[in-house]
Amino acid sequence: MRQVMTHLSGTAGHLLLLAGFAAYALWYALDAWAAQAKTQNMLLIGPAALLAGVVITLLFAKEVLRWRAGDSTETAEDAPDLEPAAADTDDDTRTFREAWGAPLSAALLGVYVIALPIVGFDVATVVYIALCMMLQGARDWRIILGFSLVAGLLPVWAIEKMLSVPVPTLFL
Amino acid sequence: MIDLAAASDAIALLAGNPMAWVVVPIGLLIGLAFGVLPGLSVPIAMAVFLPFTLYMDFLSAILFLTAIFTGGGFGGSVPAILMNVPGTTAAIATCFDGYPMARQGRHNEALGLALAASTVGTIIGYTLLFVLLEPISRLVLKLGAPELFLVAVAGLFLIAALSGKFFWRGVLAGALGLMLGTMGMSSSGVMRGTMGSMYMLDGIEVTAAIIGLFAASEIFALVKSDYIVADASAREVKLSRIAKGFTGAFKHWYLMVRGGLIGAGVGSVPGVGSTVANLVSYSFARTGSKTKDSFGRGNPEGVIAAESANSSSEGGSMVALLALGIPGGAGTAIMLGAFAMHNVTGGPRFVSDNKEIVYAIIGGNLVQAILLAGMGLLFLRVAVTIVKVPLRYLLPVITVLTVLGSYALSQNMVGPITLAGGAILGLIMKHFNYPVVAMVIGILLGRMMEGNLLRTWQLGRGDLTIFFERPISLGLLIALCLAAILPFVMKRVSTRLEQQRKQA
Repeated sequence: MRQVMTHLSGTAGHLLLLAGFAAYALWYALDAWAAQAKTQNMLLIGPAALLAGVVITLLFAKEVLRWRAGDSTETAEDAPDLEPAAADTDDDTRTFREAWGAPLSAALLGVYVIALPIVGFDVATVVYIALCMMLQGARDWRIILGFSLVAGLLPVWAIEKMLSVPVPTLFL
Repeated sequence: MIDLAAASDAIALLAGNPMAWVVVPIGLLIGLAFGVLPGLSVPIAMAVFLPFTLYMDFLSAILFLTAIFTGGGFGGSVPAILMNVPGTTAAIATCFDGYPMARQGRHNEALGLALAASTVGTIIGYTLLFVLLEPISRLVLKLGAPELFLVAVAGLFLIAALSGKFFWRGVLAGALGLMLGTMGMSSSGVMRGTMGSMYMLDGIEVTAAIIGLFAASEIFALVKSDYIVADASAREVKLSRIAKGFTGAFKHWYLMVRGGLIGAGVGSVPGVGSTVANLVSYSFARTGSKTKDSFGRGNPEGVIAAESANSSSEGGSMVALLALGIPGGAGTAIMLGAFAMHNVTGGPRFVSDNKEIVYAIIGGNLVQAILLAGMGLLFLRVAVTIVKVPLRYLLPVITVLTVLGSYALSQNMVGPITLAGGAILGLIMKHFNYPVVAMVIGILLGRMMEGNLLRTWQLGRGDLTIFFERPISLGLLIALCLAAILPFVMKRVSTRLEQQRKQA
């Protein structure tokens, strides 16, 4: 698993991202062309897709050449400075957070958004906050429970009652 | 240009209207609170409180709404600086240097700078409105589709400035952003990229996509940290440091004046407004700075340039509202609602018949700007305590507020889904050094650029040489070409001079 992640965060990952960009640009340009094959419909989309295609090809070729040369160090070079702050948790937790914190948070957000209409905004939000707190090193279940209940239910209630936006909920 | 009799009537109107002075501080506080909360934007605040204006006279109602506008305009910079979450699209450029300053423990200074720049920007915007309302409104009427398209192209130029050594990745992100921004029904009624879903008719949710790409991906990266500011001693909240930042901003008075002028000018263009104004001003500041390399890494000049422009653009957007009756953005559209509620129609006739009311609105806003400086200083003391909150409490709450805010905006799941998609994409793009901001600019400008390009094409009957036939668009085109070529020429000349000096 660790090896797969290492590859995905290096050259292979970049090539996959470029392939994804290319697929999107091609799909959207073809979809727009199929919707109306006229100049006025493609005035901006056409040149933008063409430019994207050219740059993707160049970047792809450059990345493949770098891969062949066995150099995959470039991506980390300008990574944003996000050194972990002063520790208030034990070493194991910090290591786990450093290695998996960002991708797990992204996955958690994805699951949270999918769960919102299924289990209701109130339950999903409370569970999401509790899991996020645990991911960031919180271990006292009383604090987790108390905080996630207040911070999860209050905004859902405010949106529903104060802004009058209908929200699917289980209990509220 | 200035009608002195109307100006003196305006002063009498303001002095004899105590209601206006009661609602202005309340409006400022509401704006500050809504601006500070990520996910809740100023137009939401104005929409929520619009019904209250029914119980006020017209002047008080407009001053109340502009107070929310002014307070929110500055309030949006607080999450931009402290959390890298732009409270409004106008605060995007504030993030570039404001957030790095906060990460370095200079959050007090950054907020002080932003407050000073916002105050001065608002004053410049409304002063210009006072002096130049009529000539500007005549000029705005002359701007057609070709000119609006070229103004948007100027915004795109920023991609080059912000991509640094990853220029081509910036170009790719910008091109993809333009495509994302044009998804949905086009201005000629063709549906592209909707995948057959009616939710996609209006395209992707721009605000949610921006928050996701820009902010949520940053939030993921913060999961590793315990506090926004790593150094415990730097987490202090000190009014003296905020005040020092406030006064320090005046050392860069030229940046504030230039930002204010750019903001008022660009802000007066309907549809472009404050979103582009802050980016253009930031770009100018970066290009003209002696410390160009430190931009994006916590340079105070970046914060000043962005904030002065986005605040003065409020005055600019009032030009279109008052003189033409056209709302330049969501905020002024809600103000137009207040106009309708009081049976007032904006436009050239309104300005000529009710000059004293227009001047009173402008005068009231100038006083508001000064009030903002005082109230903002006190409010910031409370707002800055956010850096003292451990991230394990702060991050989930911010994420939840942005997700719920995007749901409130779209009223369906498109907002949260777009936000989550944008956040994951933003995280991956940042990992591979793609400038996320380039995609954001593309998304923001895509629809507007396409609409104006299409109208230009129709105006020229399928011939785009119309760009060279209109004096204003030709002037803009020349300015754009010069802006593109000059940096290269200057660099070349300076390198040659340097070489000659070395040889000598």
